[in-house]
Amino acid sequence: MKSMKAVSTGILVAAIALVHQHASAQVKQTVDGAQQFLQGLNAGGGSGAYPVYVVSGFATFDGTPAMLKFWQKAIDDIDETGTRNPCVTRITDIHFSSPTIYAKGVRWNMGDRSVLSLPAGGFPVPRYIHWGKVSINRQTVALGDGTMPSYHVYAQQTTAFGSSGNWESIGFAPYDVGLADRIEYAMKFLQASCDTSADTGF
Amino acid sequence: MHRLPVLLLLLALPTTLSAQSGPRQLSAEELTRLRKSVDTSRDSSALAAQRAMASRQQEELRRQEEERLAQQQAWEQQAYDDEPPIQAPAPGIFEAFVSGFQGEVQKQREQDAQQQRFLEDLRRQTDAITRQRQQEQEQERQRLAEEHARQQRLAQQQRQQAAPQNPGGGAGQSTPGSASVTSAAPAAAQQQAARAQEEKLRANVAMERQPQQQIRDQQEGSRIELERKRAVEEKMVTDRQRTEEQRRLASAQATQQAEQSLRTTFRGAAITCPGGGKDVLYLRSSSPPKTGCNVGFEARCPGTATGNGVHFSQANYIGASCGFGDSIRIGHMACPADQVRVDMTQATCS
Repeated sequence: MKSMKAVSTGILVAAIALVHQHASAQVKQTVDGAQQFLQGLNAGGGSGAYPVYVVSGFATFDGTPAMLKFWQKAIDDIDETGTRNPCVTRITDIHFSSPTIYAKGVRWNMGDRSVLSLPAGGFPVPRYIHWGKVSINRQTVALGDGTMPSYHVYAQQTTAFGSSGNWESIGFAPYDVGLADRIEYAMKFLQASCDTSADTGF
Repeated sequence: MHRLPVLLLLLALPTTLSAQSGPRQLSAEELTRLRKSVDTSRDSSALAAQRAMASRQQEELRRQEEERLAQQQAWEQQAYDDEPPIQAPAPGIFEAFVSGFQGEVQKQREQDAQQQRFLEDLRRQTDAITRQRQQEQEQERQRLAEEHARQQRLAQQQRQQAAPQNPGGGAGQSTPGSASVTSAAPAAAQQQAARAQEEKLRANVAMERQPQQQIRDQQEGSRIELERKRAVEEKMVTDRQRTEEQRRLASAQATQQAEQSLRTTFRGAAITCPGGGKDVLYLRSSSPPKTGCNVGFEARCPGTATGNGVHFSQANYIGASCGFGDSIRIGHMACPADQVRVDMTQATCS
Protein backbone atom coordinates (compact mmCIF):
# COMPACT_ATOMS: atom_id res chain seq x y z
CA MET A 1 0.00 0.00 0.00
CA LYS A 2 2.84 2.34 0.92
CA SER A 3 4.75 1.55 -2.25
CA MET A 4 1.63 2.28 -4.35
CA LYS A 5 1.36 5.72 -2.77
CA ALA A 6 5.02 6.41 -3.44
CA VAL A 7 4.66 5.42 -7.10
CA SER A 8 1.60 7.65 -7.65
CA THR A 9 3.37 10.58 -5.98
CA GLY A 10 6.36 10.03 -8.28
CA ILE A 11 4.12 10.05 -11.37
CA LEU A 12 2.49 13.28 -10.20
CA VAL A 13 5.87 14.95 -9.68
CA ALA A 14 7.08 13.79 -13.09
CA ALA A 15 3.91 15.11 -14.74
CA ILE A 16 4.32 18.52 -13.08
CA ALA A 17 7.96 18.60 -14.15
CA LEU A 18 6.97 17.78 -17.74
CA VAL A 19 4.29 20.48 -17.79
CA HIS A 20 6.77 22.99 -16.36
CA GLN A 21 9.37 21.98 -18.93
CA HIS A 22 6.81 22.38 -21.71
CA ALA A 23 5.86 25.85 -20.47
CA SER A 24 9.53 26.84 -20.31
CA ALA A 25 10.10 25.55 -23.85
CA GLN A 26 7.34 27.82 -25.12
CA VAL A 27 9.00 30.95 -23.65
CA LYS A 28 12.60 30.25 -24.81
CA GLN A 29 13.95 33.48 -23.34
CA THR A 30 17.65 33.01 -22.70
CA VAL A 31 20.68 35.25 -22.37
CA ASP A 32 21.97 33.81 -25.63
CA GLY A 33 18.67 34.75 -27.27
CA ALA A 34 18.89 38.28 -25.89
CA GLN A 35 22.46 38.62 -27.17
CA GLN A 36 21.39 37.31 -30.56
CA PHE A 37 18.50 39.81 -30.65
CA LEU A 38 20.76 42.79 -29.92
CA GLN A 39 23.44 41.61 -32.35
CA GLY A 40 20.77 41.21 -35.02
CA LEU A 41 19.61 44.77 -34.43
CA ASN A 42 23.17 45.99 -34.74
CA ALA A 43 23.90 44.10 -37.96
CA GLY A 44 23.70 46.10 -41.16
CA GLY A 45 23.92 49.44 -39.42
CA GLY A 46 20.85 48.80 -37.30
CA SER A 47 17.65 47.76 -39.02
CA GLY A 48 15.01 50.01 -37.52
CA ALA A 49 17.10 50.91 -34.48
CA TYR A 50 20.16 53.12 -34.77
CA PRO A 51 22.97 51.47 -32.75
CA VAL A 52 25.09 53.88 -30.75
CA TYR A 53 28.03 53.85 -28.38
CA VAL A 54 28.08 56.77 -25.97
CA VAL A 55 31.02 57.70 -23.78
CA SER A 56 31.30 60.45 -21.20
CA GLY A 57 34.33 61.78 -19.39
CA PHE A 58 36.87 60.64 -21.95
CA ALA A 59 37.02 63.90 -23.93
CA THR A 60 36.59 67.58 -23.16
CA PHE A 61 34.91 70.24 -25.27
CA ASP A 62 36.05 73.80 -24.80
CA GLY A 63 37.50 72.76 -21.45
CA THR A 64 34.37 71.10 -20.05
CA PRO A 65 33.56 67.36 -19.91
CA ALA A 66 31.92 66.18 -23.12
CA MET A 67 29.68 63.28 -23.99
CA LEU A 68 30.41 61.74 -27.38
CA LYS A 69 27.98 59.60 -29.33
CA PHE A 70 29.29 57.33 -32.07
CA TRP A 71 27.77 54.92 -34.55
CA GLN A 72 28.42 51.46 -33.16
CA LYS A 73 29.21 49.30 -36.18
CA ALA A 74 29.83 45.76 -34.87
CA ILE A 75 29.28 43.81 -31.65
CA ASP A 76 29.68 40.19 -30.45
CA ASP A 77 29.72 38.28 -27.15
CA ILE A 78 33.45 37.68 -26.58
CA ASP A 79 34.92 38.73 -23.26
CA GLU A 80 38.41 40.00 -22.34
CA THR A 81 39.80 36.44 -22.18
CA GLY A 82 38.77 35.78 -25.78
CA THR A 83 36.02 33.30 -24.94
CA ARG A 84 32.30 33.48 -25.60
CA ASN A 85 30.44 34.92 -22.64
CA PRO A 86 26.72 35.68 -22.86
CA CYS A 87 27.07 38.22 -20.05
CA VAL A 88 29.47 40.39 -22.08
CA THR A 89 28.99 42.43 -25.24
CA ARG A 90 32.16 43.38 -27.04
CA ILE A 91 32.04 46.43 -29.31
CA THR A 92 34.57 45.68 -32.01
CA ASP A 93 34.07 48.54 -34.46
CA ILE A 94 33.12 52.17 -33.82
CA HIS A 95 32.69 54.86 -36.45
CA PHE A 96 34.91 57.59 -35.08
CA SER A 97 34.82 60.09 -37.92
CA SER A 98 31.60 61.93 -37.07
CA PRO A 99 30.67 61.94 -33.39
CA THR A 100 27.77 63.88 -32.00
CA ILE A 101 29.06 66.12 -29.23
CA TYR A 102 27.10 67.04 -26.10
CA ALA A 103 28.57 69.50 -23.63
CA LYS A 104 27.21 72.18 -21.30
CA GLY A 105 23.78 70.59 -21.69
CA VAL A 106 23.40 71.05 -25.46
CA ARG A 107 24.37 69.45 -28.74
CA TRP A 108 27.24 71.11 -30.56
CA ASN A 109 28.19 71.80 -34.11
CA MET A 110 30.33 69.13 -35.77
CA GLY A 111 32.45 71.95 -37.11
CA ASP A 112 33.52 72.71 -33.55
CA ARG A 113 35.69 69.59 -33.35
CA SER A 114 38.65 71.94 -33.21
CA VAL A 115 37.79 72.62 -29.57
CA LEU A 116 37.22 68.91 -28.83
CA SER A 117 40.24 67.39 -27.13
CA LEU A 118 40.89 63.67 -26.73
CA PRO A 119 43.59 62.07 -24.54
CA ALA A 120 46.83 61.14 -26.25
CA GLY A 121 46.70 57.70 -27.81
CA GLY A 122 43.07 58.03 -28.84
CA PHE A 123 40.15 55.92 -27.84
CA PRO A 124 40.86 52.26 -26.92
CA VAL A 125 38.89 49.63 -28.86
CA PRO A 126 37.35 47.06 -28.42
CA ARG A 127 35.04 48.08 -25.59
CA TYR A 128 33.40 45.57 -23.24
CA ILE A 129 29.96 45.98 -21.68
CA HIS A 130 29.35 43.70 -18.66
CA TRP A 131 25.61 43.17 -18.43
CA GLY A 132 25.71 42.27 -14.74
CA LYS A 133 27.00 45.76 -13.95
CA VAL A 134 24.91 48.02 -16.18
CA SER A 135 21.97 50.27 -15.44
CA ILE A 136 19.26 50.53 -18.07
CA ASN A 137 17.62 53.83 -18.92
CA ARG A 138 15.29 55.09 -21.59
CA GLN A 139 14.48 58.49 -23.08
CA THR A 140 11.86 59.68 -25.51
CA VAL A 141 13.23 62.35 -27.82
CA ALA A 142 11.17 64.40 -30.28
CA LEU A 143 11.42 67.53 -32.38
CA GLY A 144 10.46 70.87 -30.86
CA ASP A 145 6.80 70.48 -31.82
CA GLY A 146 6.62 66.93 -30.43
CA THR A 147 6.68 65.20 -33.81
CA MET A 148 8.95 62.33 -34.88
CA PRO A 149 9.50 60.79 -31.45
CA SER A 150 12.36 58.30 -31.16
CA TYR A 151 13.01 56.03 -28.19
CA HIS A 152 16.55 55.79 -26.88
CA VAL A 153 17.36 52.77 -24.70
CA TYR A 154 20.81 52.61 -23.13
CA ALA A 155 22.74 50.16 -20.95
CA GLN A 156 25.27 52.22 -19.06
CA GLN A 157 28.25 51.10 -17.00
CA THR A 158 30.81 52.99 -15.00
CA THR A 159 34.27 52.84 -16.53
CA ALA A 160 37.40 54.56 -15.27
CA PHE A 161 39.02 56.59 -18.03
CA GLY A 162 41.56 58.08 -15.67
CA SER A 163 39.31 60.29 -13.56
CA SER A 164 36.13 59.72 -11.60
CA GLY A 165 32.56 60.04 -12.85
CA ASN A 166 33.10 58.43 -16.23
CA TRP A 167 30.76 56.05 -17.96
CA GLU A 168 30.10 54.37 -21.28
CA SER A 169 26.97 52.84 -22.72
CA ILE A 170 25.62 50.75 -25.54
CA GLY A 171 22.29 51.88 -26.95
CA PHE A 172 19.68 51.64 -29.65
CA ALA A 173 17.34 54.37 -30.86
CA PRO A 174 14.30 53.02 -32.74
CA TYR A 175 11.35 55.10 -33.94
CA ASP A 176 8.99 52.25 -33.01
CA VAL A 177 7.85 52.15 -29.38
CA GLY A 178 7.16 48.38 -29.56
CA LEU A 179 10.71 47.70 -30.70
CA ALA A 180 11.99 49.95 -27.91
CA ASP A 181 10.04 47.82 -25.41
CA ARG A 182 11.63 44.64 -26.75
CA ILE A 183 15.12 46.17 -26.63
CA GLU A 184 14.62 47.37 -23.07
CA TYR A 185 13.24 43.99 -22.02
CA ALA A 186 16.19 42.13 -23.62
CA MET A 187 18.65 44.47 -21.90
CA LYS A 188 16.94 44.09 -18.54
CA PHE A 189 16.81 40.32 -19.02
CA LEU A 190 20.58 40.27 -19.58
CA GLN A 191 21.12 42.59 -16.63
CA ALA A 192 19.03 40.46 -14.23
CA SER A 193 20.42 37.14 -15.50
CA CYS A 194 24.05 38.26 -15.25
CA ASP A 195 23.78 40.15 -11.97
CA THR A 196 25.98 38.08 -9.63
CA SER A 197 24.99 40.21 -6.67
CA ALA A 198 21.52 38.61 -6.80
CA ASP A 199 23.05 35.57 -5.05
CA THR A 200 23.57 37.69 -1.95
CA GLY A 201 19.82 37.91 -1.46
CA PHE A 202 19.75 41.72 -1.75
CA MET B 1 31.57 8.16 8.86
CA HIS B 2 32.58 11.44 7.23
CA ARG B 3 32.22 10.26 3.68
CA LEU B 4 28.58 11.32 3.18
CA PRO B 5 29.00 15.11 3.85
CA VAL B 6 32.12 15.20 1.64
CA LEU B 7 30.23 13.43 -1.15
CA LEU B 8 27.31 15.87 -0.90
CA LEU B 9 29.72 18.80 -0.98
CA LEU B 10 31.41 17.44 -4.11
CA LEU B 11 28.02 16.96 -5.76
CA ALA B 12 26.94 20.52 -4.93
CA LEU B 13 30.22 22.12 -6.03
CA PRO B 14 29.58 22.31 -9.81
CA THR B 15 26.18 23.91 -9.21
CA THR B 16 27.72 26.52 -6.94
CA LEU B 17 30.50 27.26 -9.41
CA SER B 18 28.13 27.59 -12.34
CA ALA B 19 25.92 29.96 -10.35
CA GLN B 20 28.92 32.17 -9.74
CA SER B 21 30.32 32.30 -13.28
CA GLY B 22 27.41 32.02 -15.72
CA PRO B 23 24.02 33.63 -16.06
CA ARG B 24 21.31 32.47 -13.70
CA GLN B 25 17.82 31.29 -14.51
CA LEU B 26 15.21 33.95 -13.81
CA SER B 27 12.02 33.02 -12.02
CA ALA B 28 8.55 33.74 -13.39
CA GLU B 29 8.13 36.41 -10.74
CA GLU B 30 11.31 38.15 -11.85
CA LEU B 31 10.24 38.04 -15.50
CA THR B 32 6.88 39.59 -14.60
CA ARG B 33 8.72 42.29 -12.68
CA LEU B 34 10.92 42.96 -15.71
CA ARG B 35 7.90 43.36 -17.98
CA LYS B 36 6.26 45.74 -15.51
CA SER B 37 9.44 47.80 -15.29
CA VAL B 38 9.47 48.13 -19.10
CA ASP B 39 5.86 49.40 -19.02
CA THR B 40 6.71 51.87 -16.27
CA SER B 41 9.81 53.06 -18.09
CA ARG B 42 7.84 53.60 -21.32
CA ASP B 43 5.17 55.65 -19.56
CA SER B 44 7.60 57.73 -17.54
CA SER B 45 9.84 58.51 -20.54
CA ALA B 46 6.78 59.59 -22.56
CA LEU B 47 5.68 61.83 -19.69
CA ALA B 48 9.15 63.32 -19.39
CA ALA B 49 9.17 64.01 -23.13
CA GLN B 50 5.80 65.77 -22.90
CA ARG B 51 7.05 67.91 -20.03
CA ALA B 52 10.23 68.75 -21.92
CA MET B 53 8.21 69.73 -24.98
CA ALA B 54 5.94 71.99 -22.91
CA SER B 55 9.00 73.56 -21.33
CA ARG B 56 10.60 74.12 -24.75
CA GLN B 57 7.43 75.70 -26.08
CA GLN B 58 7.31 78.07 -23.12
CA GLU B 59 10.95 78.90 -23.66
CA GLU B 60 10.27 79.52 -27.36
CA LEU B 61 7.34 81.82 -26.54
CA ARG B 62 9.47 83.71 -24.10
CA ARG B 63 12.24 84.01 -26.70
CA GLN B 64 9.82 85.24 -29.35
CA GLU B 65 8.48 87.84 -26.92
CA GLU B 66 12.00 89.00 -26.16
CA GLU B 67 12.75 89.14 -29.85
CA ARG B 68 9.63 91.19 -30.51
CA LEU B 69 10.56 93.64 -27.77
CA ALA B 70 14.11 93.86 -29.07
CA GLN B 71 12.82 94.56 -32.57
CA GLN B 72 10.55 97.27 -31.24
CA GLN B 73 13.45 98.90 -29.46
CA ALA B 74 15.58 98.60 -32.54
CA TRP B 75 12.97 100.29 -34.66
CA GLU B 76 12.65 103.09 -32.14
CA GLN B 77 16.38 103.71 -32.11
CA GLN B 78 16.61 103.15 -35.87
CA ALA B 79 19.78 101.19 -35.31
CA TYR B 80 19.18 99.16 -38.44
CA ASP B 81 18.03 101.97 -40.76
CA ASP B 82 19.87 100.38 -43.70
CA GLU B 83 18.90 96.75 -42.91
CA PRO B 84 15.44 95.19 -43.06
CA PRO B 85 14.07 94.07 -39.65
CA ILE B 86 14.00 90.41 -38.72
CA GLN B 87 10.69 89.08 -39.93
CA ALA B 88 8.77 85.89 -39.42
CA PRO B 89 9.19 83.29 -42.15
CA ALA B 90 7.04 83.98 -45.23
CA PRO B 91 3.85 81.97 -44.70
CA GLY B 92 2.43 79.52 -47.16
CA ILE B 93 5.54 78.61 -49.16
CA PHE B 94 6.02 75.24 -47.58
CA GLU B 95 2.27 74.54 -47.56
CA ALA B 96 2.11 75.41 -51.27
CA PHE B 97 5.02 73.08 -51.95
CA VAL B 98 3.38 70.24 -50.00
CA SER B 99 0.08 70.80 -51.79
CA GLY B 100 1.78 70.79 -55.20
CA PHE B 101 3.69 67.63 -54.38
CA GLN B 102 0.51 65.87 -53.19
CA GLY B 103 -1.21 66.92 -56.44
CA GLU B 104 1.62 65.35 -58.44
CA VAL B 105 1.35 62.13 -56.47
CA GLN B 106 -2.43 62.01 -57.03
CA LYS B 107 -1.97 62.61 -60.75
CA GLN B 108 0.56 59.78 -60.89
CA ARG B 109 -1.87 57.44 -59.14
CA GLU B 110 -4.62 58.26 -61.64
CA GLN B 111 -2.25 57.57 -64.53
CA ASP B 112 -1.33 54.21 -63.00
CA ALA B 113 -5.02 53.29 -62.61
CA GLN B 114 -5.74 54.27 -66.23
CA GLN B 115 -2.85 52.17 -67.44
CA GLN B 116 -4.12 49.21 -65.40
CA ARG B 117 -7.59 49.56 -66.95
CA PHE B 118 -6.08 49.64 -70.44
CA LEU B 119 -4.14 46.42 -69.75
CA GLU B 120 -7.28 44.71 -68.42
CA ASP B 121 -9.22 45.65 -71.58
CA LEU B 122 -6.41 44.37 -73.76
CA ARG B 123 -6.35 41.07 -71.88
CA ARG B 124 -10.12 40.64 -72.19
CA GLN B 125 -10.02 41.31 -75.93
CA THR B 126 -7.21 38.81 -76.42
CA ASP B 127 -9.11 36.16 -74.46
CA ALA B 128 -12.23 36.71 -76.60
CA ILE B 129 -10.23 36.36 -79.84
CA THR B 130 -8.60 33.17 -78.58
CA ARG B 131 -11.96 31.66 -77.60
CA GLN B 132 -13.49 32.57 -80.99
CA ARG B 133 -10.55 31.00 -82.81
CA GLN B 134 -10.88 27.78 -80.80
CA GLN B 135 -14.61 27.60 -81.58
CA GLU B 136 -13.93 28.06 -85.30
CA GLN B 137 -11.32 25.31 -85.27
CA GLU B 138 -13.71 22.98 -83.46
CA GLN B 139 -16.48 23.69 -85.98
CA GLU B 140 -14.09 23.07 -88.89
CA ARG B 141 -12.98 19.80 -87.36
CA GLN B 142 -16.60 18.65 -86.92
CA ARG B 143 -17.46 19.67 -90.46
CA LEU B 144 -14.55 17.63 -91.89
CA ALA B 145 -15.49 14.62 -89.77
CA GLU B 146 -19.11 14.79 -90.97
CA GLU B 147 -17.94 15.11 -94.55
CA HIS B 148 -15.74 12.10 -94.17
CA ALA B 149 -18.58 10.08 -92.64
CA ARG B 150 -20.92 11.14 -95.42
CA GLN B 151 -18.43 10.03 -98.05
CA GLN B 152 -17.99 6.71 -96.35
CA ARG B 153 -21.74 6.20 -96.24
CA LEU B 154 -21.96 7.08 -99.95
CA ALA B 155 -19.23 4.62 -100.87
CA GLN B 156 -20.97 1.93 -98.83
CA GLN B 157 -24.25 2.55 -100.59
CA GLN B 158 -22.55 2.40 -103.99
CA ARG B 159 -20.94 -0.89 -103.11
CA GLN B 160 -24.27 -2.28 -101.95
CA GLN B 161 -25.95 -1.14 -105.19
CA ALA B 162 -23.21 -2.69 -107.29
CA ALA B 163 -23.37 -6.07 -105.50
CA PRO B 164 -26.92 -7.30 -106.79
CA GLN B 165 -26.02 -6.43 -110.43
CA ASN B 166 -23.10 -8.83 -110.31
CA PRO B 167 -23.76 -11.41 -107.61
CA GLY B 168 -21.25 -13.93 -108.99
CA GLY B 169 -18.70 -11.41 -110.10
CA GLY B 170 -16.60 -12.12 -107.10
CA ALA B 171 -16.22 -15.80 -108.16
CA GLY B 172 -15.41 -14.99 -111.85
CA GLN B 173 -18.43 -16.91 -113.30
CA SER B 174 -20.44 -15.67 -116.42
CA THR B 175 -23.20 -16.89 -118.73
CA PRO B 176 -22.52 -17.08 -122.52
CA GLY B 177 -25.63 -14.93 -123.59
CA SER B 178 -24.88 -11.92 -121.51
CA ALA B 179 -21.27 -11.11 -122.47
CA SER B 180 -21.76 -7.37 -123.30
CA VAL B 181 -23.72 -6.67 -120.10
CA THR B 182 -21.26 -8.52 -117.93
CA SER B 183 -18.26 -6.79 -119.55
CA ALA B 184 -19.72 -3.20 -118.99
CA ALA B 185 -20.86 -3.73 -115.42
CA PRO B 186 -17.46 -4.65 -113.94
CA ALA B 187 -15.89 -1.59 -115.66
CA ALA B 188 -18.43 0.79 -114.11
CA ALA B 189 -18.02 -0.90 -110.77
CA GLN B 190 -14.26 -0.60 -111.02
CA GLN B 191 -14.54 3.12 -111.86
CA GLN B 192 -16.91 3.60 -108.97
CA ALA B 193 -14.58 1.73 -106.65
CA ALA B 194 -11.62 3.75 -107.91
CA ARG B 195 -13.51 6.99 -107.28
CA ALA B 196 -14.48 5.81 -103.83
CA GLN B 197 -10.89 4.84 -103.15
CA GLU B 198 -9.72 8.25 -104.36
CA GLU B 199 -12.27 10.00 -102.15
CA LYS B 200 -11.19 7.86 -99.25
CA LEU B 201 -7.54 8.69 -99.84
CA ARG B 202 -8.40 12.39 -100.12
CA ALA B 203 -10.35 12.21 -96.87
CA ASN B 204 -7.43 10.40 -95.22
CA VAL B 205 -5.00 13.03 -96.44
CA ALA B 206 -7.35 15.77 -95.20
CA MET B 207 -7.61 14.03 -91.82
CA GLU B 208 -3.85 13.67 -91.66
CA ARG B 209 -3.43 17.32 -92.54
CA GLN B 210 -5.97 18.47 -89.97
CA PRO B 211 -3.77 17.93 -86.85
CA GLN B 212 -0.83 19.53 -88.65
CA GLN B 213 -2.98 22.52 -89.47
CA GLN B 214 -4.13 22.65 -85.84
CA ILE B 215 -0.52 22.58 -84.66
CA ARG B 216 0.35 25.34 -87.13
CA ASP B 217 -2.64 27.36 -85.90
CA GLN B 218 -1.62 26.81 -82.31
CA GLN B 219 1.96 27.81 -83.08
CA GLU B 220 0.73 30.91 -84.86
CA GLY B 221 -1.56 31.70 -81.91
CA SER B 222 1.30 31.20 -79.46
CA ARG B 223 3.55 33.44 -81.54
CA ILE B 224 0.91 36.18 -81.65
CA GLU B 225 0.28 35.79 -77.92
CA LEU B 226 4.02 35.94 -77.22
CA GLU B 227 4.38 39.07 -79.31
CA ARG B 228 1.41 40.61 -77.57
CA LYS B 229 2.87 39.82 -74.15
CA ARG B 230 6.24 41.16 -75.20
CA ALA B 231 4.63 44.36 -76.43
CA VAL B 232 2.69 44.71 -73.16
CA GLU B 233 5.84 44.06 -71.12
CA GLU B 234 7.82 46.56 -73.15
CA LYS B 235 5.06 49.09 -72.65
CA MET B 236 5.01 48.38 -68.91
CA VAL B 237 8.80 48.75 -68.67
CA THR B 238 8.64 52.00 -70.59
CA ASP B 239 5.79 53.26 -68.42
CA ARG B 240 7.62 52.23 -65.26
CA GLN B 241 10.77 53.99 -66.38
CA ARG B 242 8.74 57.08 -67.20
CA THR B 243 7.01 56.89 -63.81
CA GLU B 244 10.35 56.49 -62.02
CA GLU B 245 11.76 59.40 -63.94
CA GLN B 246 8.74 61.53 -63.07
CA ARG B 247 9.06 60.58 -59.39
CA ARG B 248 12.77 61.29 -59.43
CA LEU B 249 12.18 64.66 -61.02
CA ALA B 250 9.37 65.42 -58.52
CA SER B 251 11.66 64.41 -55.65
CA ALA B 252 14.54 66.50 -56.98
CA GLN B 253 12.18 69.42 -57.49
CA ALA B 254 10.80 69.01 -53.97
CA THR B 255 14.32 68.93 -52.52
CA GLN B 256 15.27 71.99 -54.53
CA GLN B 257 12.18 73.84 -53.35
CA ALA B 258 12.85 72.83 -49.74
CA GLU B 259 16.43 74.10 -49.98
CA GLN B 260 15.27 77.35 -51.52
CA SER B 261 12.58 77.69 -48.88
CA LEU B 262 15.19 77.11 -46.15
CA ARG B 263 17.39 79.87 -47.52
CA THR B 264 14.65 82.41 -48.21
CA THR B 265 12.84 81.98 -44.90
CA PHE B 266 15.98 81.98 -42.77
CA ARG B 267 16.24 84.79 -40.25
CA GLY B 268 19.13 84.74 -37.84
CA ALA B 269 21.04 86.81 -35.34
CA ALA B 270 24.20 86.51 -33.28
CA ILE B 271 23.87 86.10 -29.53
CA THR B 272 25.99 85.16 -26.53
CA CYS B 273 24.95 82.11 -24.52
CA PRO B 274 25.22 81.58 -20.74
CA GLY B 275 28.39 79.58 -20.12
CA GLY B 276 29.36 79.85 -23.77
CA GLY B 277 32.46 81.96 -23.21
CA LYS B 278 33.08 85.69 -23.03
CA ASP B 279 32.31 87.48 -26.31
CA VAL B 280 31.84 84.15 -28.08
CA LEU B 281 28.87 84.45 -30.43
CA TYR B 282 26.31 81.84 -31.31
CA LEU B 283 23.50 81.65 -33.84
CA ARG B 284 19.85 82.20 -32.97
CA SER B 285 17.62 81.32 -35.90
CA SER B 286 13.99 81.21 -36.96
CA SER B 287 12.36 77.74 -37.01
CA PRO B 288 13.36 76.07 -40.29
CA PRO B 289 10.54 74.85 -42.60
CA LYS B 290 12.50 71.62 -43.07
CA THR B 291 14.86 69.91 -40.63
CA GLY B 292 17.75 67.52 -41.19
CA CYS B 293 19.49 69.46 -43.97
CA ASN B 294 23.16 70.39 -44.14
CA VAL B 295 23.48 74.16 -44.16
CA GLY B 296 26.15 76.84 -44.32
CA PHE B 297 26.10 80.40 -42.96
CA GLU B 298 28.00 83.62 -43.22
CA ALA B 299 28.20 86.18 -40.40
CA ARG B 300 29.26 89.71 -41.29
CA CYS B 301 29.85 92.96 -39.43
CA PRO B 302 28.66 96.22 -40.99
CA GLY B 303 31.03 97.26 -43.77
CA THR B 304 32.15 93.70 -44.53
CA ALA B 305 31.48 92.66 -48.12
CA THR B 306 29.47 89.53 -48.87
CA GLY B 307 31.79 86.53 -48.97
CA ASN B 308 34.40 88.07 -46.64
CA GLY B 309 32.57 87.28 -43.40
CA VAL B 310 32.91 84.35 -40.97
CA HIS B 311 31.70 81.11 -42.51
CA PHE B 312 30.33 78.27 -40.44
CA SER B 313 28.12 75.24 -41.08
CA GLN B 314 25.86 72.71 -39.43
CA ALA B 315 24.89 69.17 -40.42
CA ASN B 316 21.39 67.90 -39.70
CA TYR B 317 20.14 71.41 -39.03
CA ILE B 318 17.08 71.76 -36.77
CA GLY B 319 17.29 75.44 -35.88
CA ALA B 320 19.54 77.04 -33.30
CA SER B 321 19.57 78.99 -30.08
CA CYS B 322 21.11 78.77 -26.62
CA GLY B 323 20.05 75.37 -25.30
CA PHE B 324 17.28 74.95 -27.85
CA GLY B 325 17.88 72.86 -30.96
CA ASP B 326 21.54 73.04 -31.93
CA SER B 327 24.03 75.42 -30.36
CA ILE B 328 25.88 76.72 -33.40
CA ARG B 329 29.06 78.53 -32.57
CA ILE B 330 30.03 81.53 -34.69
CA GLY B 331 33.05 82.50 -32.62
CA HIS B 332 34.55 85.95 -32.07
CA MET B 333 33.48 88.84 -34.29
CA ALA B 334 34.91 92.35 -34.69
CA CYS B 335 31.57 94.01 -33.87
CA PRO B 336 28.96 93.64 -31.11
CA ALA B 337 26.41 90.81 -31.40
CA ASP B 338 23.50 93.09 -32.29
CA GLN B 339 25.38 94.45 -35.34
CA VAL B 340 26.19 91.05 -36.83
CA ARG B 341 24.19 90.05 -39.88
CA VAL B 342 23.82 86.29 -40.49
CA ASP B 343 22.82 84.79 -43.86
CA MET B 344 22.29 81.19 -44.87
CA THR B 345 24.61 80.77 -47.84
CA GLN B 346 23.84 77.19 -48.83
CA ALA B 347 21.47 74.33 -47.96
CA THR B 348 21.61 70.70 -49.04
CA CYS B 349 18.66 68.48 -48.21
CA SER B 350 19.34 65.44 -50.44
